[in-house]
Amino acid sequence: MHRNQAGRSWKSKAAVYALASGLAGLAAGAALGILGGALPLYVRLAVGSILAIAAVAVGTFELLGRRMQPLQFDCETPQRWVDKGPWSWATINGLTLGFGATSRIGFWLWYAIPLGAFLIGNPVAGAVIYGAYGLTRALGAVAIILAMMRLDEDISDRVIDGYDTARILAAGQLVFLGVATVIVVGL
Amino acid sequence: MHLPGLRGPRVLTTTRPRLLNALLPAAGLGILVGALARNSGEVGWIFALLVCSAVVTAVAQQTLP
Repeated sequence: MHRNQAGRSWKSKAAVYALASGLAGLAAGAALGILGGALPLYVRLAVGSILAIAAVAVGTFELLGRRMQPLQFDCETPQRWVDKGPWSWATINGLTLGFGATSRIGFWLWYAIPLGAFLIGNPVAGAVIYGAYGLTRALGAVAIILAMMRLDEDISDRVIDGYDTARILAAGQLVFLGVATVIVVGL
Repeated sequence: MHLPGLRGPRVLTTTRPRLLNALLPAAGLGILVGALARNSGEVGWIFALLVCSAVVTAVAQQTLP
């Protein structure tokens, strides 16, 4: 959430933002789950096995310090959306960030969300996976705003400084997910 | 170690050990959970791991500029 959006009625804007973000994740996950369900199970298992091996490889490279930039639109959500008004901004920004694919992704682990929702082949499970992402992404921003208000200081730089730790965490999770998936479906 | 142009011994540090230290627990946990999931014959483990990955991604993305 943009810093200058924290105003008098910031709670209702934050609620709209979180709701939009969660809904975007739920809708995207359900759609991917329906699409994935159209594929035979053996195809999903085969693709999942290959992707799990790729996840282990990418995560290992990252953890060995060989930084690999994920394929992404390397941009933020447009600043001009702020001019559309607080409610429209909260809705559009929430929908965009909850979907995630059209702005900066930053971590290879992100791909596990749409691919997992697709390969699991169930709209409810897909919605839960992607919805968890959308909701957490929005609530994370709200938590940062709340912390800034409580501490009465701008902690956004400190949060950004945590990027290297986040990269290790995300790469570790990618290896964890990849190894477990290879054992379950690939061996 | 002694470095040219610098007086006294110097210790060179890199972030690699820290990164390597994360690889072993991640792979070990993956083997453990993978074996448990395979023995139980349920896909619930992988589903739970995917939800966990979604949450970790969202938390990690808070650090993006």
